[in-house]
Amino acid sequence: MVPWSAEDGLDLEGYRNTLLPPKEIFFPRWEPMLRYSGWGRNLRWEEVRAPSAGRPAVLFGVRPCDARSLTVLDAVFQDDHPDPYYLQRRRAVVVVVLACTTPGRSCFCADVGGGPADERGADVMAAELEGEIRMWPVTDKGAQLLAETGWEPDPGGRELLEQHMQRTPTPAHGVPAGRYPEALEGRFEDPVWDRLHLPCLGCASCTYLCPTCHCFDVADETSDGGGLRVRGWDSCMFALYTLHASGHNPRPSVKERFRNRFMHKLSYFPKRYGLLACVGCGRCVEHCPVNVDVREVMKELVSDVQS
Amino acid sequence: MSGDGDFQPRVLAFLCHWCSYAGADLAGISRLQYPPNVRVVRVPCSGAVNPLWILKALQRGVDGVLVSGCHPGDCHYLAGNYVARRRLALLKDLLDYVGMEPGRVSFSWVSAAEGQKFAQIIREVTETVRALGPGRKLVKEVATDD
Amino acid sequence: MTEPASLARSLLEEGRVEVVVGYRPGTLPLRARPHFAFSPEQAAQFIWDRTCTPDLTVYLPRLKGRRVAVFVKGCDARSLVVLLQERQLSREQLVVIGLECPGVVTPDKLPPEQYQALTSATVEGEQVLLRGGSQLERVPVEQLLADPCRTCQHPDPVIQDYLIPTNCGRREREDPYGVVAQFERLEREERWVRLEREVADCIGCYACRQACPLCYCPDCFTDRFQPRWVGPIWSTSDALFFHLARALHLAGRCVDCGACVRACPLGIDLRHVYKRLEQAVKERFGYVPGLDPEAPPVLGTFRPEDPGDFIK
Repeated sequence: MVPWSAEDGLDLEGYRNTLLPPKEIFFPRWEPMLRYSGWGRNLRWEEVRAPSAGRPAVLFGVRPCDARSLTVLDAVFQDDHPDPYYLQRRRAVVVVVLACTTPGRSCFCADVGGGPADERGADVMAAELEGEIRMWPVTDKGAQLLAETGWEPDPGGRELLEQHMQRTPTPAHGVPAGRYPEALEGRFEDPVWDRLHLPCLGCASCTYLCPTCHCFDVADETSDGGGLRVRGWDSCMFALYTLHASGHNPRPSVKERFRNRFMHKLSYFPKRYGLLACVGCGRCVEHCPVNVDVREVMKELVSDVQS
Repeated sequence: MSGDGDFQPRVLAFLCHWCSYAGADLAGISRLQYPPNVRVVRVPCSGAVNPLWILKALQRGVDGVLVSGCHPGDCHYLAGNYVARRRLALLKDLLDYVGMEPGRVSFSWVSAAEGQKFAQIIREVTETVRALGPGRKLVKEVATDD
Repeated sequence: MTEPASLARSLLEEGRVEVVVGYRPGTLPLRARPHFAFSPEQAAQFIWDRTCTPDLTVYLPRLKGRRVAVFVKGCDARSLVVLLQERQLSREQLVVIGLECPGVVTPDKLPPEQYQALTSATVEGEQVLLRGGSQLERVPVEQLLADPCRTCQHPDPVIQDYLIPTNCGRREREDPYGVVAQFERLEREERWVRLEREVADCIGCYACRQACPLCYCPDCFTDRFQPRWVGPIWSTSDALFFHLARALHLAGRCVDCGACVRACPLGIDLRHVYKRLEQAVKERFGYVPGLDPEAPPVLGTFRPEDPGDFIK
């Protein structure tokens, strides 16, 4: 996603989705938390926020899968310790979702409870139908944006989109979504992990490109006589993620990290929040260097139980 | 430190304990004059210099780096400087290739008996780096936004 | 049954190895993926064609001490040689199935919009058939050939126990340092700007490092804290530091398999930097990595007469 100005125009030809998910707008690659200087009694510190935090913005063209990922992130960042950094950004941004009238080959949103015209996470819903962009509000925030910009709300758009969707193939690959987390109950020690993890290289491209992955690390960027405390993306696929100061690592190899990634998305997260932490955007499918396909992993995890 | 005229570069020098560091001592004892812009890090051998240190120094805003070890054949550990020569040659080639200014990073062999040469090298390196101006490439600016 | 499959099957049936590491069809067009067969039945899926891009030797250090058969193309065989040279594996544990390689294809050569619109693709001789819905397009293999394959000097494995021959024609080798010369023609300042621009998109996912068979360190410098080499602020400077440091660590070792470039989700391509170091090693020390498992690593040895022209 990049800043847009009116001179740029709008070209949606061939647009499927962004390479990086919109989470970076709300949860940037890194952001500052506090600045400090001095030692001991002379220690001084002040809270700092990135200039971009809380800056009003409109996100246009977010796909329904990614909009739904915002509801997943909301669940985490609004939990028992509301996260001011995320929420400040979230409040200031209006999300305009563009329905998928031609879903991509790796999309499987319909398998995980979403759909190409899903309105969850959207403030305004838009669709390109018959060569025209139709928009209608979903939330009050969205209605306000449309009112302020003088855009006529278009309730007929929703109906037209529904008609269009009946003629469009559903982005589904037979991934049995409904059976999580039951299918993973008691599967922690299952031998299936010995096989499934084998091709995984242990890089973080899947987690960094994932719209719902939200792990972060807090660390100090030190400079002469002081420093900046920042939080930045972290990934459960890294050995360092779970490494203890003692040197012990409870997830010592790719197998344990791989298992955690899937257990977290499909079992732990749904148990805690009632939502799958996968929205079926297909980014990890497209960009895994060795084509570890989440859809197949999910199918195998469930089919193993049936057999 | 503003304006080209009074720019005082900061040069970091990794000096081998067995030769160049003693060469610096000799230069001092002999009261030889050389610019005060150099900060010395004593290392056990030029072969112990990790090229990442040099990159890190440039990243932290040092204007120039010098690595100085024993002449070929003189290494206290027999071959440390020979191994360093291969490694540092590749670092130099890499930096040249990617567009770092030549002279930002320099290398020399200075023995414990070469106080004169040490002073001369520091003069040369300082003037070269002064002419290049402040090191900007690779410097990490600690801003509060990306 | 294909030749790779029957060979793998017999190795497993005879109990010569515990596991065979090879390729099977992927779930995306033009992408074969790694396959691990532990039983003769699992061997049936093995294939070998021009979509078999991954360098499978990346998995071998993880399988240290186990009896493994592995499929290697010319470049993969060279990374295997470096692993053996650096004592990461023992030759005795391995059965090496060499693949005479006519060069592999990569979807990176297609514009992303075109690739993402494909539903399937098949390689037929020197043609690739691209299908996107009802659309059908034929493009020459040449157009999709991975960059390292265009300049590959050793397409046939330098080390092997079995050899699966190719019936594809061999192409003429292009100048391996053409990309280097092209970059060197730019002004110094422009070169730095280009490099910065290339790495500016880096998100630090380390897919390049993880896909590299020679980045096997259990404790990478990026994981160190005293000092901390990269991050926690992830700036272009950090990305530059990471990529330059990685290039230095692979100097005299990189065999140009291209895995790092293909692995990058952002499409960062620093192959020419690695080629420049390869060229420097060749010119200065007369050494080409990946050919001799008995040779000492080039940066772990020296000759008194090595050039020292750059030293005052």
